[in-house]
Amino acid sequence: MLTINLSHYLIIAAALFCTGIFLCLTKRNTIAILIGIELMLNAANLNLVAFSQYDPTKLQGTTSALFVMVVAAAETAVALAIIINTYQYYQTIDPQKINSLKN
Amino acid sequence: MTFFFYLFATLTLLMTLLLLLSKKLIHLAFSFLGVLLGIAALFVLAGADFLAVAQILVYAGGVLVLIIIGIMLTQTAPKENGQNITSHSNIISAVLVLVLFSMLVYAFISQPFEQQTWIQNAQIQQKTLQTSTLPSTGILLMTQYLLPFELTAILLLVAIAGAITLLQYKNKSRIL
Repeated sequence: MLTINLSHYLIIAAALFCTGIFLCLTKRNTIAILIGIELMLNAANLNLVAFSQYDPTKLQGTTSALFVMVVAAAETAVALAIIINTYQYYQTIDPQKINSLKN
Repeated sequence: MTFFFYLFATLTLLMTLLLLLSKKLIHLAFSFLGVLLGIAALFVLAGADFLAVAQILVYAGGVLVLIIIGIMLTQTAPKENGQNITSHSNIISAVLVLVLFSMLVYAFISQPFEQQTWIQNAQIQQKTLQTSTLPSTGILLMTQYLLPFELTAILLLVAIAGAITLLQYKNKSRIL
């Protein structure tokens, strides 16, 4: 079961995390930013699970990843409600144009 | 085992590349589905079978459907969707992210995780995952992690109520 090097999991998770950050920084769309945040949460989950395979009795990593998943699902529901509300008010979901508080 | 790990790792990274290159928002969502399924496969290979099923159910079945419905409800003119800000700030972000990634990879390669005592103990005693984690996960959730488990129920209830309340007043008044 343990033939795979632990650092390979971590490197894949780092790639996913950096992709998430890149999406958050560059995309001009709130839903794309939401997808980036979900990707970062998934990368953290992958790290937790990779370490949890050496801890089969307590399973701390797996349990934490389960709670992260639940919180991510709740966060997506609320975030999409906010995005749809914002769209009805501003007719756009571009975060650059949602700037009523400016000036 | 090793072959399947590298197969699914390559699949996940290819889907991540597709995610970065996709211009349309709906293509972004569907390549995100590929990434999620690849991560679920990696969960299975890391011995977290329950979490893999939960990943497919919650993310691929719930979150992704929500995101696609959100995309459909907020469609504007095609030129606005998923466009990048400017090439100038794109390059700055790409450089910053690449620096972060190379720092992380360097740290993971130089750090000998296999020499940690608790990992070595697990490898020596062969107390690694051999059977399904589902029974032990259920027992842990009902004993040691009972309080966070119940708090999760309250959190989900609050999230449902919040999402419904946010979308309820769209015709009466503008809440923003």
